[in-house]
Order: sequence, then structure tokens, then C-alpha cells
Amino acid sequence: MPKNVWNAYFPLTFACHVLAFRVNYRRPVLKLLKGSVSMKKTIFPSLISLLILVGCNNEEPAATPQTGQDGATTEAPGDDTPGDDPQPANDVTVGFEIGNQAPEITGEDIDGVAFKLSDYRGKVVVLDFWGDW
Amino acid sequence: MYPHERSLVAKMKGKPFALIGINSDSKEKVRAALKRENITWRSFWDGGDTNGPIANQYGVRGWPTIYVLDHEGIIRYKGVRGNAMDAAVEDLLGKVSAGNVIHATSETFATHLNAEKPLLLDFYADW
Repeated sequence: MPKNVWNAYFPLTFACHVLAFRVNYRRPVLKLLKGSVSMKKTIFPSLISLLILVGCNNEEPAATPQTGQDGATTEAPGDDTPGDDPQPANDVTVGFEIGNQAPEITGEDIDGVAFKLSDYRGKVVVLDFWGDW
Repeated sequence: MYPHERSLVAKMKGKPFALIGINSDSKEKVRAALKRENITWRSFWDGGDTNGPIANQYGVRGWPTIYVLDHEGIIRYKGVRGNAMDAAVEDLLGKVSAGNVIHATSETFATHLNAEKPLLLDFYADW
């Protein structure tokens, strides 16, 4: 079982499992009850259901990286909605050296209006520590 | 310092660029400087002295201290002043427009439209 079943692909995987259940379980049971079981007739539906299950299980891992890890670094430049993703990309170190993700700054401007550095994601930014002296 | 940064901001108008200050003066002193020097860019107010939370967070010991970040918030240049600052910004702006996906804002939309490149426009929202 995947850790998180309730993702965007849930309807698809659920449908797969229902289909697999019908083929794998219900049909052979009906045949057993009818007493018309032969090796050929039971193995064939089982193979189909196995294929369906394999297909379903392939669907799930393919779904997770798309929603989870595909951060700003692997996408095309600028494809990072400002304000939507305040977390830096997973594989970039946060720090003060060249190549590091600049640490988030939250604060207020001179008029007391709150804003943050990540509001400017998508723009080239010069950070200027200044004073009038 | 002020004239150069003023000209940089003017030169980059309409481009995906922002100059953000972090100011360590008292509010009265900042307001006076903003008016006197005609400073249009936005600044974080860092508590009124050089021991403010943002300066401490960034370990700033000397003023001015400059960081230049690309459009993904990655530090690409440090300590660039004067023409070197302009060159750094130009370089990083070049990398923004070299990408296939541009996020236009109401300020930059016209610039991108006038770039004489074929565009696929996608008006979207995150819902």
C-alpha cells in the first residue's frame, strides 16, 4: 500500500483496484460456485488481474514525484509561483555563500507594511544593507 | 551610493528586477534620507540600529553590504558596487529571459510582449 492513498490520483487507482477485484475475485468465485472450473479458465483471469494490479502500482510512484519533489530547480526558470512556495528548493543549501538560497527575510517597511523577500521571487533582486551615514 | 542605485533602478524599470534595502537608521533618519535623496525603492526597516534582526540574521558587519540574487532567490554575487552591480544585474536578467517560461506581472507584461518572440500566453491561477 502506498503511504498516502489520498492524492490526486486516488480516483484512478481506486478504479483500478475495483476492476482488479472484479476480475480477480468475483469471477473465479462464481465459477467455483457453478462448479465449472478448469485450469485454463482460472489462470487466464488471474493473469489479467495481475497485469491490472501491476499497472495500478506503476501509476502511484509515477504520481508522487510530480506532486512532491518537482521543485523550482528542475522546472523551467521562473516557473515558481511567488508567494505559493515560500520553501526553498529541496536540493539547494540555504546560506550566505554564492550559490546558496538566500535566507528568507520577513519584516516591515518604513511605513510598517509587512513584506518578505520571497515576494520578489521571479525577479532579480539586489539586497542592499544601507544606512544614511 | 544613492545616485548610482537610483540610476540602476531607473534603468531596470519594467524589467523583472527589484532593489530591496535593509535600513539600519531610525525611522526619522530614514524618512529624511528617502525624501532628500529621492529614494523610490522599498526597504525593510531593521529596528533603528546596526544590531537589527535582519543584519544579525545575515551576519552583516559592514555597510553597505550587497547581495545580488537571481530570480529563484539564489545568491549569485556579493559585495558588487557601482558598475559591477549593474553588470551583475544585467547578467542575471539575461538568464531570466533565456528561460522558456517567463512569469509576467502587470509591470513586466508589456516588456515581454514587445520582445518580438513567439509567445504562448497562459492566464492561470492556483486553484
